[in-house]
Amino acid sequence: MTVGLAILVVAFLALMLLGVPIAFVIGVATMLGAFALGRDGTPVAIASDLANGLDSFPLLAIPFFILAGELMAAGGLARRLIDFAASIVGRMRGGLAMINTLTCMLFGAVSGSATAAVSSIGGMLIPEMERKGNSREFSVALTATAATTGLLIPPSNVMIVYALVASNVSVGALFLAGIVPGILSGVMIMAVALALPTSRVPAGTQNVEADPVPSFWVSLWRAFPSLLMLVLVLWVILKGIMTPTESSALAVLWALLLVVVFYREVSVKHLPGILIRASRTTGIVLLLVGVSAAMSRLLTIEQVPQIAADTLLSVSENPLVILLLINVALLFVGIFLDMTPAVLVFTPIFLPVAIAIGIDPIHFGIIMVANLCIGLCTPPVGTCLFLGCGVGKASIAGVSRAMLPFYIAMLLALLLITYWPGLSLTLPKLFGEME
Amino acid sequence: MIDRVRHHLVKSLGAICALIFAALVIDVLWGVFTRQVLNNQPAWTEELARLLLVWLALFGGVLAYAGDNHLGIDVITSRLDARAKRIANSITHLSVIAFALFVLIWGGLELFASRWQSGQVLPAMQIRKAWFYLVLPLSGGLLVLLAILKIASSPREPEESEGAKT
Repeated sequence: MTVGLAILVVAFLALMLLGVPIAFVIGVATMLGAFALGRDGTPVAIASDLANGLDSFPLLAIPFFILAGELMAAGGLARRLIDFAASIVGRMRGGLAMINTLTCMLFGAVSGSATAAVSSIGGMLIPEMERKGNSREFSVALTATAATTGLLIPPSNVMIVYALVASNVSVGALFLAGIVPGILSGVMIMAVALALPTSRVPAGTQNVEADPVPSFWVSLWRAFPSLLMLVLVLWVILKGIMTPTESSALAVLWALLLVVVFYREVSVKHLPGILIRASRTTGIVLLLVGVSAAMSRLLTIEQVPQIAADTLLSVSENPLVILLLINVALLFVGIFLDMTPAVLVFTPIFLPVAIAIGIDPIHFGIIMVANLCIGLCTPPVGTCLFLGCGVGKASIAGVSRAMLPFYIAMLLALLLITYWPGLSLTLPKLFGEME
Repeated sequence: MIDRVRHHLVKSLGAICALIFAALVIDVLWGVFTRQVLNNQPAWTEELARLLLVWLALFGGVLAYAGDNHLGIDVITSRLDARAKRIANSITHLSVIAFALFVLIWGGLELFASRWQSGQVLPAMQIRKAWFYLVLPLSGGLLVLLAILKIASSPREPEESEGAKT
């Protein structure tokens, strides 16, 4: 058994370092591991694990939220949200940094994608921040961290993935539970920007292109239809009118009506291109889901979850200590793995332990997402960090240094989220989504 | 020549994905409409949606491979010289071929054949469950073809990747 697992781990690390895409790294490592373990009918077993991992109605919400996000982004969503954020926080010290953070939170929520937030908002605001005297590295670091907050604020695809593996967890409750932690992380990031010396975060009340700060009501009016999508999706799920999947299809319809009919920013002939882009992104995420399902099954057959649980619980019985250990392990995982496979492979391993020490599965889901958000901003597999460096034309080494205060802010937010269950669980309880 | 084959392949695949995606959206919205308004949702809407989802996921995965959009770590490979980089790239494509051959084509074909023989049928749509698995060998074949084309095509700058959404 140990030989098979060793082969899996070695193949995994070797292929990953050689630059093989993670989906194929997981696929090939699972394949080699299964061969070494002498699993019966290896190719068929993996193929059926992969297909069955994808055969799920709840999973459909992922492509739909991706498509809704692509549609919104193809229109003028970024512009409208920036104006809206500027009208609220634009006059504060470090105005652009504040605008950037708030816009990333909103954009990440509406588009459901941290990377889309980095490329759209970063593409518009990083050059602007630099022109106003912020250092380029600081601007990139801020954008990359702020973009991850959108993964906690609903609707969030990662939470759908989590609900899929953690059985008996309602997506509606998870969505509600993420709101306060998401806002908390955003506020922490803003606090970091405010705490840094003015030389690094210059005052700048002007909006992009030196426009005067738009009035709150005007910009709210413009951004309202896009933000309404968030409310609409949450409302139909919580009222029990629709399943999360159906609500995501509604989000697509809403986005389509907005950009094609209401704003007229996208014409019908652009739609095939948008569908193809969304298909590609869907393929990236869902192929990871499929191969992770196969790998997770192999690990379960080899009883890795039990071994991990026994080991963890043998170290300590104290929930605080166990949570700390799980968090440290997840931080390590997040450094090497992207969020989707990390959630899929490690939820079955850690969730039983968490439940055993009395942690609510919904609370644990929020802890996992908040934790893995940090990994999105660290080398060597920090999707947001890399994309931010690409968009802002900054070096990874430089940005990683500028990241330090933000890492501290994210870790602090993670500690609060971990040890203060009320942050996550108050809203779902208030709406009667859990007792 | 190679580039033209690849170009047409990717274009057709993109069109197929767009069609599947559009059908998926219409199917699920139709399900919502029939349940909320007509109070009578046909059972095939969910069955079809799940079938289309698996097809979209795998074809979309192939499409992303064609455009080099899958997430990978290039911290090390980006520092290599051109020759070493080409070797690393070849290893990527060979891994893709290995995975496609063993899991998607071999495993997928066996799965398709066994479900075909068992005659298992999707209850609402009254079609064989085997169709569900056909996408595995199909996408496997496309991956192998693309990987060979990628290895064969001259080593120049990799295509601009758009990055992936998380």
